[in-house]
Amino acid sequence: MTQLFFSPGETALRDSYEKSVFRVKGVSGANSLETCDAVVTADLALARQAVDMGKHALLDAELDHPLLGKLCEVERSNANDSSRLHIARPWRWQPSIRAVKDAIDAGKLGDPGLLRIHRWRSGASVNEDFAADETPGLIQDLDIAQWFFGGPPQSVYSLARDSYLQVHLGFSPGGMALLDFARIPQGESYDSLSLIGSTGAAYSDDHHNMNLRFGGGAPGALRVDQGSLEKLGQLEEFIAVIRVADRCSQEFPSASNIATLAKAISSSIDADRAINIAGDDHDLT
Amino acid sequence: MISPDHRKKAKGPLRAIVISVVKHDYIALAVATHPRFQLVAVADDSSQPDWVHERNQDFARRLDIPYLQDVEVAIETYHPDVAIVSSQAERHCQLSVRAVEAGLHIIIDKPMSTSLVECDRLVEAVERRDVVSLVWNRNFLPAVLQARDQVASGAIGKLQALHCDFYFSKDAGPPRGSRRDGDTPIDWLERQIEAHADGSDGGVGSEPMGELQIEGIYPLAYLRMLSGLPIKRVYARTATHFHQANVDNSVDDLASLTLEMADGVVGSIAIGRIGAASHPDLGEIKLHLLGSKGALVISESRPEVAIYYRGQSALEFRHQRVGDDGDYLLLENFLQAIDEGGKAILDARAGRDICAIVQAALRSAKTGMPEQVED
Repeated sequence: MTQLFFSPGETALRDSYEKSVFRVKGVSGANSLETCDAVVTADLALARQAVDMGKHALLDAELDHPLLGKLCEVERSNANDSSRLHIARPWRWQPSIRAVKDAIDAGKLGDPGLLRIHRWRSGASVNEDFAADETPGLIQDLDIAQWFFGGPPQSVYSLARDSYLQVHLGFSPGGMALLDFARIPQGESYDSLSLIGSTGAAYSDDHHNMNLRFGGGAPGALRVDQGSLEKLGQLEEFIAVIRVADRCSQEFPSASNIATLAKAISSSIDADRAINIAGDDHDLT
Repeated sequence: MISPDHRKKAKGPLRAIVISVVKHDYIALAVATHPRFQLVAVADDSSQPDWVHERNQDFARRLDIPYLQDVEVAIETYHPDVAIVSSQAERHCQLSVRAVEAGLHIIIDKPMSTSLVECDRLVEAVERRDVVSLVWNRNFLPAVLQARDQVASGAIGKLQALHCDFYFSKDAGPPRGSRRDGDTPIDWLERQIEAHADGSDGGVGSEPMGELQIEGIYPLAYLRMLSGLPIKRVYARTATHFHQANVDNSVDDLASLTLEMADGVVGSIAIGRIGAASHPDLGEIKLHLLGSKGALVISESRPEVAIYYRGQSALEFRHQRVGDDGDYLLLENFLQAIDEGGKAILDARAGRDICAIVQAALRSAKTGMPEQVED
C-alpha cells in the first residue's frame, strides 16, 4: 500500500485529488509526513522537507516565474535528491491532450510539423505585465510543445501587446509552433490545439466540444467538461514512479529547460528579434 | 429614374475571353454560368506546348466556343470586354497586361505572380488603363462573410489579433522520403500536369512554387478584408514536411507566419498542403479573431452536410460544403466595380501587396529574422 500525505492546510488540493486517490489501487491516505511514502503538496518547502526525509514529493502548484526560479535552484543544488521531487503537469493528462500525445507515440501522425495553440482566458488581466500574468499558461504550453516535439526548440520569436502574447518556436529539423495567449471578456475561456504531422494530424478544439443552448436570441455555446481525469492520470504516473525504483518517468522533466525558454521569450520581446537557443543559453539571431 | 437593376440589365451581357485555361477551369465556368457574361472564345499563344493547347481546346469544345492560338487576333476578332486568365502561374501577369493594354477588364487566377516586378507592371497597366481587375479569391464564402459582418457590426469591438489556419488536406505525389538513391528528382511541371486529374495542380507551371506562394493569397486575402490593414512585418518559418516533389524542388509545403499589421494589430497564419489523410474533408481552415470586446472562432467550411454510405471512397469528403454562392458573389462584386466604378474586393494592387508579404515571409524563413514587407 502506498501512503500519500496531504497537508491539513491544503484542503482544496486534497479535495481535488480525493476521488483519484480512491480510484488508484493500493493507495491510501497517510496521517503524517513521517508515516507516508510520498506527499502531494503545493508548498515547495514541504516538498523539500519530504525529499530530505527520503520520500517522494509531487509538487502541484501554479508555476509562475518565482516558483520556476526556485525549482531551477533545487535542481542545480541537489541533483541526486531532486529526482524525488516531481513537478506536477496535470495538463499532460487532460484527455484531449493525452489523446494527441498517444497518437504521436503510436506513430500515427509521423514527424510533428506544426503545433498551434490558442489559449484565451476570460476576465481582465490582473497584472500590468500581461506576459507575467500568463506565465502558468505559457509554461503549460511550452511544456506541451517540447513534449510533442521530443525536445526543446532551437529558436523563438515573440511579440506582445496589451493583453496579448504570441510565441513562435522553431524545432529541429523543420518543426514549428505558434502559441498565442489573450484575454476575452468575463465568462468562459477558450482552448484550441492542433498538431500537423507528416502522416497525420490531430485537432483538439473547444469549438468541437460545444453543445447549444437556446433561450431566445442567438444560441449559447456550452462546452462539455472533460472532468477531473487529469488529476487521476497525474497521480497514477506519480505512484508508478514511486513503486518502481529504477523507473525514470518521462512525464517529469526538469524545470530548467522551461525556465531557459521562458527567459528567451522575454529576451525576444525586449529585443524585438528572434532568439537562438542552445542548452541553457540563448543568442539574438 | 432608372433603378440599379434596370441599368445593369440595360447594359447587356459582357463578352468574356478565356486566355489560357490550363489550371482551374472553375473560374471560367463560373463566368460562363453567370447571366451577365457570355464566353466568346478561348485563346493562347501558339508557342505554348502541346499539353497547354490540349487543355485549352478541350475546354473550348466543352463550351462550344472557338479556340485560337493567337491572343491578340482573338481579342481583335471577338471584341471581348473581359479576359479570364488561368494560365501557368508564371504567365499570369504577362497575359493580363496584354489584355489590359487591349482595354479589357481582367479576372486573374491565383497567385497573381511570384514576382513583384511582374505585379508592379500589371498594377501600373491596370491603373493607367483604368480597368477593373479581380484576383480570384474565397472571400465570399458564407462563413467568411459571417466573420466580416460580425467584425463590421462591432460585435467584438476593435480588432486586435487575427489568426488563420489554412491547411489543404491534399496529396502532392509521393511522400517525402520516398526517393531512393539513383532516382531522378521529381520534375515540378510533370508532377503538376499529372495532378490535374485530381485538381491538386494549383502550382502548375515550370517554376516550382511552395504552398505559401500558391495558396497564401487565400488566408492573406481573408485577413485583408477583415482588418482593412496592411501587413508591415513578417516572421516566418517554412519546411518541406510532406511531399517528395517539394523536397526535390526546394519549395515549402508547410509554413507558419507571425504578422505585424498597422495600428498595432497582430496576427498569424499556419498554412500547408498536409496530405489527404490528415483531415476528413478539404482541410482545416479556421479563423480566430480577437477584439477589444470579444472574440470569434469561425470554421470556414460551414455550413456543411455530413454524408456517409457503404462503399464510400476514402477520397470522398464526408462533409460537403453547402450554400456556397461565393463564385457568383465574387462576380457580382466584379460587375459592380465595372458598372459603378470602384474596385473589386481583391484587385491587382491587393494581389501585389500579397505577393510582397509572401516574399517577406520567404526571406524571413531564410534569414531567421522578422522582415519588413516591401511597399
